[in-house]
Formats: sequence, structure tokens, C-alpha cells
Amino acid sequence: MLDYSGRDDFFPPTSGRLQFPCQSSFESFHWLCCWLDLLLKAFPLSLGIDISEMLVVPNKLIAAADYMAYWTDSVDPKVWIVIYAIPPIIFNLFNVRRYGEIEFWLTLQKVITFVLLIAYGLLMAMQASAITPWSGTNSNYEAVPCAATAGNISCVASPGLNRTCHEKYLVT
Amino acid sequence: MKEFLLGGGAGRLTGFWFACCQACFAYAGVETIAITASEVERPRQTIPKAVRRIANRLNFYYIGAILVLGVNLSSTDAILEKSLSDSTFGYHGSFVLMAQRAGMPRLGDFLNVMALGAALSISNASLYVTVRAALYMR
Repeated sequence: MLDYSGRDDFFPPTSGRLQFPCQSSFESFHWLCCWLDLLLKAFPLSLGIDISEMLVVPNKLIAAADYMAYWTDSVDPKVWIVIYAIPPIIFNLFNVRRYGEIEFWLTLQKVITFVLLIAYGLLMAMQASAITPWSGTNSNYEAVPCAATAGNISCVASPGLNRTCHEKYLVT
Repeated sequence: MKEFLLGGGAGRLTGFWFACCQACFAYAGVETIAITASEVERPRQTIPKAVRRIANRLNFYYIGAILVLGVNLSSTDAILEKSLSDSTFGYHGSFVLMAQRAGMPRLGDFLNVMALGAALSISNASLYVTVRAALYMR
């Protein structure tokens, strides 16, 4: 057995100072310190998280440039990356209350979109869309169960629907 | 289960493994809540509540998204297959493709705007975590 005497910061005290969460939430990794070393408490852990999260920011900026390529190919992706790097930097200059407020609204639009998308996607599988308004109203389709619908909505499979698809996406 | 790259049982294993690797990236980011723990009010009450909420939301959103995509998009879709072999081909995400296949390019535009907002939100959160992790590095 290891000897923990003298290392009173390993376990939350029964009373007294607040242990969880402390100024740095990395210091709350008690078990890491138990089995390894106190040196691992903050620095290497922060470094690992920092490096991994640093990679996410450019990753998502490149993703944003890719999303913009959906509309226009004529603009260099570098331009979009520079443009979309500005708002996160500005938001992070605010204090944490403002930042949290902004992040809350950004997240709320994601949540609402996703709930609507799931609801409408299920309806779409029941053939509610621009080309298949409701079940049975379009002569291109038979009323088929949901799972069998997958693959029917395809430019390749049904040439009669080609004109409704995006011109760029016509694959022969 | 569909075969991917290879044939037979090996192909099914490859497909499963490819999907697993993609899914891992979707789950990255839930640790952000631990970083914010030092700056919230009443952390003992709010953090466990938030963590439970995250688990419920992930179950709902991811399973819902997989259901919607699986029902509306064919796995043998020509664009999906082409996007695997040709990375320069204009493929802008499964949800946009789903909207286009349903004949609604305007819905595809809307979903693309929302995906753009999501990317900005994630970069915003990651920048926050980066700054805080650098701040606590000592």
C-alpha cells in the first residue's frame, strides 16, 4: 500500500476549505495524483487539453470555409477562415458572464434546429417534401414503409425527379 | 450491415470501424463542462445537473440524427459513394444532401447556415477551453 500521510490534499476534507471545484478544476483530479505523482496535477494535464483543444479551433474554421464553399467557390477559403476567426476572438474578450450569454444563444439555435430537423426528417421519410407533398398525392411514389423509402429519393434512381435536384449534384 | 472497402465479413468490420472512428469525434467536447466548473455559480448543484442533461441530449440528438439520415438517405447514394473516393468532389454534408434529395435546396441552404453557426459555436467554446487551460497551466 502507498502511504498517503502528509498528503492531505488527496481527499476532500470533512470540513473546512472548499475542495471541489477549486480555482483550477484540473486540481480536482485527485485520483491521478494518487496513482501517479503530484507533478501531474496541473501542468501536463492542462498542456494535453490545451493542445487538443487548440487543434479544434482551426479545424472548425476550415469546416466553416467548407460550408461557405457550398454557396460560392470563387472566394479563396483563406478569406473565410480569417473572417470567421474574428467573432470567437471578440466573444472571448468579454467577461465570462457575457461569453456564457452569447454561447447560450449560439447553442440554442443549434438545439432548436436539431429538434425541428429530427421532427421534419421523420415526416420527410413519410414522404412529406416538396416533390412528395403527402403520402399518396404524388404519382412518382407508391405509399411504402419508411425504411423502404431510403434509396427511392435519388436523382440517379428516378430520372423524373432530376429537375428538382440541385444542378451541381446531377450525377450520371 | 453494409460492406465497406472490402468484401464479406472483413468489409462489415471495416464499415463498423469506420463509423466508430467518425462517432468518436462527435463525442469529443463533452469534457468542456469540467473546464467551466471553476466559473459557475453553485457548482455542486449545477454541474451534476448539466452533466446529466448532456447525456440525455446526446442520446436524443445523435440517435435522432442517425435515424433521420438512415431513413432519408440511401447508403448506396451516388454522391456519398463518390465523396468517399474523391475528396475534392463537392459534398457538403449529409443533411444538405438529404434536403437536396428531397428536392428542397432552400432547406439545404438553411441547414448549411445552421451548420456554419454550429461550427462557429464550437470554435468559440474551444477557444474558451484553450484559454482557460493555458491559464491554469502552472
